[in-house]
Amino acid sequence: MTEADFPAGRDLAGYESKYDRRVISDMIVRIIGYVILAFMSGLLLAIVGFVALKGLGVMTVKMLTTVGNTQTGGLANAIAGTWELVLTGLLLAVPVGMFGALYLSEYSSRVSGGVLRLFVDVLTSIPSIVLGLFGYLVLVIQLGLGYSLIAGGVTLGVMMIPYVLRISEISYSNIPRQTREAAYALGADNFQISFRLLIPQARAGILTGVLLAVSIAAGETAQLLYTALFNNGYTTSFLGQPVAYLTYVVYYSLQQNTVYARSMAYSAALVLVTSIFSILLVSKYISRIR
Amino acid sequence: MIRMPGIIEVRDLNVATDRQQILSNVHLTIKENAVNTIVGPSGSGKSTLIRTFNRLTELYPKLRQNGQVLFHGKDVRDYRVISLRRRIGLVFQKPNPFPASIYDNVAFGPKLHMKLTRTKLDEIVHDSLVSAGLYDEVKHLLDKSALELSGGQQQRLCIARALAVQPEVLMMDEPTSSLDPIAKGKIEDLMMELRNQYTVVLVTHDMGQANRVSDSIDLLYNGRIVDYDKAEVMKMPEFEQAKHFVMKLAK
Repeated sequence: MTEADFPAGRDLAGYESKYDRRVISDMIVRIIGYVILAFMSGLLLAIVGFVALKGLGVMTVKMLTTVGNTQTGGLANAIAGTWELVLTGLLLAVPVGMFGALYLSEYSSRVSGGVLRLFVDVLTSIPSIVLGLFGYLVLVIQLGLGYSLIAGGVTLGVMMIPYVLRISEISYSNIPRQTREAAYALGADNFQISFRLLIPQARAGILTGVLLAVSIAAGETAQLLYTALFNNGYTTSFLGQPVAYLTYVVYYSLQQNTVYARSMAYSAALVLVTSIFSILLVSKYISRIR
Repeated sequence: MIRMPGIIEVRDLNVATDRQQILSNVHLTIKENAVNTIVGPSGSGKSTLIRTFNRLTELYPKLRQNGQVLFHGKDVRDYRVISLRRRIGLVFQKPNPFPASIYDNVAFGPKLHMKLTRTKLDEIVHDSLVSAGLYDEVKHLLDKSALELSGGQQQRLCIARALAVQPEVLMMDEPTSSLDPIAKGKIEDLMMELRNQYTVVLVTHDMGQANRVSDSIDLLYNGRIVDYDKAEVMKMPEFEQAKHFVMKLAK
C-alpha cells in the first residue's frame, strides 16, 4: 500500500489538533462545574453546620417536650402548631392541586388551560407577606375567622397550591398517550380514566409535589404573622385560638436579650432544618423508585 | 329484519383533517367470525379506518368525518360509546399494558362495566389469559408487573385484556410489527383460533401475514379501498406503488 491509499492522513492530523482544543474547552467547562458545585455545597454546609452547631449545643429533651412562650419553656407547642398549619393547608392544596392538574393535563382547552396556568404562575410569584396581608384582611377580619388554625392554614394552603399542581401536572402528562387510549378502547369513560388510571399512575408524582409543598410551607413565616399570630399553649381547635409555629420562634426569640430565648431560636431552627431535610430526602426517594 | 351482509358495514366514509384527506369514499364489509384483513402501506389510513369503528377517532378532535359506519346495521354514533367500545375491542400496534400487575391489567376492563365478585373476576382473568394463549406462562406470576413480560407476552396480555370484556369484534392494529418471528407466529396462530368465537379485524402491512391468516383481504391505498381484482385500476399511475402489494396478494 502506498501513501496515496490514505489521502485522509494529513486531514487526520488536523482533526487531532482540533480535538486538543476540544479537550481543553471540555476541561474548562468541567472546572467551572466543579467550582459551582464546591460553592453550593460549601454554602449549604455552612448554613446547616451553623444551625447544627448553635442548635445542638442548647437543645434538650425538655426543649422539645414542653410548651413555651418564646422567652421561656420549650418548643412543643410551636412544633405541633407548625404541623397543624401545614396539614390544614394540605386540606386545601391537595384537592385543588390534584384536580386542577388533572383538568389542565386532560380536559382543558388551549385557552382555558393557558389562563389557568398563568393564574397559577402569578400565584407563585406573589410575595408571601402580601398573601399574609390578604389572609388577614379577608379571612381574619372580613370572614371573622380571627387569628386561627383555619386562617393560617388556608393562607398557607393558597401558597402550596402551585407546587402541588404543577408537579402533579407533569406526572399526569408523563403517562403515555397509548396507555390512555388502551383504557378508552376498553370502554372507560373520563371519570374512570381519571380515578382508575391517571391518579393511581401519577400518585408518586403527586406525593412528591405534596412533600415539596410541605417542606416549603413549613419554613414560611410571613403568611402566618397576621393570620396565626402565636399561642403560648397548644392549639386544639380550628377556630378561636391562635397557633404557635417554629419560624416565629426563630424570628422573635433571636431578638431577645436573654441567652435562653436565643437558644430557643437556635433549637427551633435546627428542628425546622432537620424536618425539611428529611421530607426532601423522602420525596427524592419516592421519585427515584418510580 | 333485513339480514346485514356484515357485522360492520362502512358506507362512503370520508375522514379528513384541515390539511389532509385521510380516507376517501371507503366502502367495506366486515364479515362475522372471520379474519378480515386490511392491508396497505404505512400512512394509507388503515389505523384511522378501524378507529372509526369504535369511535376512538373522537379522541382526535381535529378529525372530521362523514359517511356511515354501521355495527349490526345501526350507526355506531347511535350506540353509547362505552358499550360500543366494549363490544368492539382494539389491540394496538405497540404492546401497551398498564404499568400494573398482570391480573389487574386483565381485570381493568371488566371492572369498568360491572360490579363483580372476586371469584367471578378470577374466572374472567383465567379464561381471558387462556384464550390469549398466555395462561400457562404466567399462571404463577399474576401479581407480577406486566412490564416484566417480554414484548410478545405483553402483546398477548393486551389481547387477553381486550377479550376480558367479551367483545364481539376484536380489532388488531399491526399487532406483530414490533415482535420477533416466534412471538409473531404465536399471535398469528391465535388469530386463526379466535375467529371461531370472535370477528377479527386485522390491519397489517405484512403481506405474508395477510396471506397466512386472512379469510378476506382488502387493500387500502392513499385512503381508498382499491379493488385489486380489476386490472384496469392497476393501470392508473397513482396506484403504481400499490402494485407491489397486489402482486403478493395474487399469490
